[in-house]
Amino acid sequence: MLLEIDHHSGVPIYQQVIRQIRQQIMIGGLKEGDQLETVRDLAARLKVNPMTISKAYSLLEAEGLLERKRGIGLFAAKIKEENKEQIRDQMLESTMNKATVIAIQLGLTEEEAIEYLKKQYRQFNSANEGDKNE
Amino acid sequence: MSILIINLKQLYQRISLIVLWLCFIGFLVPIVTITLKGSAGVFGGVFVWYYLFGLFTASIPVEVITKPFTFCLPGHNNIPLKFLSCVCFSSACLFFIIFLFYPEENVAHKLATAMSIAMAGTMFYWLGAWVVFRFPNWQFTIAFMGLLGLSQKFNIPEIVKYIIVKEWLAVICSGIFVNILAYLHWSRKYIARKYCGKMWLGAFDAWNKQRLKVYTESRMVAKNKSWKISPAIESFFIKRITYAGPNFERYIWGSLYHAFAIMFSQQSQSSRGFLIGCILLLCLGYTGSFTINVIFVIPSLMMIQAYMPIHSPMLIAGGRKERFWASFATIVADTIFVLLVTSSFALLSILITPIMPAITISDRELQFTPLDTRFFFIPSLMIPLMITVRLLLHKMPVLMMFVNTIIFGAVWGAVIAFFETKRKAGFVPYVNPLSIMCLIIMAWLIFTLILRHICMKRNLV
Amino acid sequence: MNNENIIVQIRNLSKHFGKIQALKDITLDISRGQIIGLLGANGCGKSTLLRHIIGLYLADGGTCETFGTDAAKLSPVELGKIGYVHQEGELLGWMTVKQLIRYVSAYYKNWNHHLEEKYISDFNIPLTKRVASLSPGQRQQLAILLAIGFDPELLILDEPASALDPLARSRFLDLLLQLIQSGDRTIIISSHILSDVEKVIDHTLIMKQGEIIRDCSFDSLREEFLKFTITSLNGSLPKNLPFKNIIQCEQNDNKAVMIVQNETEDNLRNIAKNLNCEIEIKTLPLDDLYKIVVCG
Repeated sequence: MLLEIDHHSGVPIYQQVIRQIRQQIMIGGLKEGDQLETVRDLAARLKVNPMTISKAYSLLEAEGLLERKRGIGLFAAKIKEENKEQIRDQMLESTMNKATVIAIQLGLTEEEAIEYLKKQYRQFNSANEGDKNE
Repeated sequence: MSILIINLKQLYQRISLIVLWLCFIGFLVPIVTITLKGSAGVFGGVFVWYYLFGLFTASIPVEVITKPFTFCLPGHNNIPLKFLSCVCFSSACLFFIIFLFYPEENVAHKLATAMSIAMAGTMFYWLGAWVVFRFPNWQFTIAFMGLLGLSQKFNIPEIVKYIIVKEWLAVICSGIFVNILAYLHWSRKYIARKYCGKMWLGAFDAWNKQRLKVYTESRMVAKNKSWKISPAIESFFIKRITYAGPNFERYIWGSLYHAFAIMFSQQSQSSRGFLIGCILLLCLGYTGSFTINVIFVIPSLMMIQAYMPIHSPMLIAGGRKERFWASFATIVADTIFVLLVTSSFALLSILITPIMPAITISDRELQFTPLDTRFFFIPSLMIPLMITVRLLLHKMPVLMMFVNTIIFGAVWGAVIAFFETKRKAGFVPYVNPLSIMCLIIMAWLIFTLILRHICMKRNLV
Repeated sequence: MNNENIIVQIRNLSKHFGKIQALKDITLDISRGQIIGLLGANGCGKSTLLRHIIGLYLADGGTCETFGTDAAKLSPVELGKIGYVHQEGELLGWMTVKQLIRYVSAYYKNWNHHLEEKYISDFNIPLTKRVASLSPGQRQQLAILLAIGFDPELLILDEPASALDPLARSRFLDLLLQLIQSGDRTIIISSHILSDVEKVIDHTLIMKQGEIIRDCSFDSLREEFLKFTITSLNGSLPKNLPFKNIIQCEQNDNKAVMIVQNETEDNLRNIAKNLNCEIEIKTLPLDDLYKIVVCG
């Protein structure tokens, strides 16, 4: 699992860890039943305080994204469908917010904004499809 | 205001210097009055005074010129020269005027004598100044003043008087020569660069712990060899520390390692020390009477600086109890060591007495006198007392030196009194082994109690 | 609270030096595994507090217990569990570096020779040089080695990195991060280099004029103060913005940058939504947090 920590972003490190693990789980980088690194290993690798990692893990556990098996470790959990939707909404909201605000500030109409999003979507998706075809 | 005047103002701006000058005047007045009576008694005193005056005067510009920022100040290169010459000239004028009252019949000869004294004085003044600018730790030369005690024995004041009064022309000429030399010496172009940022002791730095520490460390770097610890000594102590386990013993060994490692490792230095001791023994032995017994006292004086693991921020010095035991053990070991050294000197002096020939100097026959073994206990009495004073006053070094000087004076005075009264009355009623034992036990008891108090109840840093 | 886990317990500790009150009525618990950043201006009593913990100072009032015993009566066994890098950097100048390491390691049964070797090669410690001839930075590196060489349970670092060069400082930081990975080691760091400290600590103690003015987890300190930027989406912002507990505010027509205390992120977002504004919320780096807490 590749995580990247930015000490200067103004986002607490445990939140950075949570966001990145959540994303990994949602996009399938971490599949159900995959074991996570131990707190100590991850902290040593990321060069952060172990308390930070254990805080991130326990918040993810409370969220239902991780599952603790006594004496073995933490695993990516099976996410219920309704939860999945909610998490997806959350993730998208924060990103889309920014784009929308900039669009409004630049004075784009709703249609223009949607058109732009569509264009972007197609561009990235076709690149994706192309990759798959090769 | 010119740079020179600002520099000269230092002479009275520091309170400690004012006190020092008062001392100087205090010494000068009796010397001058006795000399003006025409007696030879302390004739050289003027020059000793002048030498010391030169030392302390020169310590002021040396303190300024060694400060790194001085280098960047414009016009500071020749300030030592101007400063020293200024003080030299004014003091020489003063002396010239004072010694115009010298009891000489002939007016011309009177003038010549006063001139001769003033000129000879400047020679000693420049010698003092040269010593300060030459040796970073110039204060050690003050210790040699002790040798002046011998001058009376060898008629030196008479000789000095003869030279100054009768050979005035030669004295004046050499005085002028020395002054020219001094001018050339201090007007060199690179003085500011040479002294910039160098570690030099100032007038009162002998009592400044921080400065002394920096100074010692700079010496450790410069004289790397004389701080080498022999591997055998090191592994001896390290093994003891390792196998002792976490108890008092470990910390005692650690402290002893501190106190003795270098002394035992440096055979060349130790043998040099022994040689100096022997020379001292010979010189003092021929002064006759009881002066030689000062050998029992000097090493105890040196032990004021003995190592104790009390005020150390390093945790390997141990907890409070361990610090107490380690310090106590170290001082005991130091005392035993000093006792051994002084006793062996005493023994040596007794052994060589029969073979030492009598010496005749200017019609006086000098006989070698050995140490008086009855005084062998002095270190065991003095060391605990002096260390106690050090413990109590470790934050007030000047006061500490003062009190310790009093203790030294008291012990030495007691020794003199012992001999004098003995000579006169034939016996001393209160001095007997029992009372001395009581004194020693008292001294150690006081030392132990105070050491314990400081280790257990005071801040350790 | 579980007493087993409390390593240092300080109750109503006070200390005078002459007329100066160095510590005023300090009460503090330090539990096992905490990595504590002890912050404060020069002369605010940090070193004094640390020296009480290891028993070099005696309290005028109150108590200070380390490992459950009165700090003044710590035994060699307990002292053997404490590593201390002191501000003065006073080491034994007359030994060579090698001799000093041998000497200090003789006191500790569990001296970690593997760590020693690694440290020496990482930091380029000159073994044959005399300690007196080392630069201040090299002395600090040596002092750090001597303090960590025996895997101490309690590590007290009083200004450990003030004289280190940037490279040595980052190596030292890596070393600290390695050290904190074993969860039962307690570390107290007093330092002015806050950008380094914040990567390591999980608890902050902020002192001001002999008193502890903050004793909280680093995360809660971070969440206590939030910095946010709101940008109006249509026209100008109202003159009086409806935010509470504002500490700092800079505002122009359609944009405002603010720092608020004790506000939740959700609350801020709701207010921004009502104003029809975009909001971007950040936490503050330790430098800024420290300034706000100390200067008020």
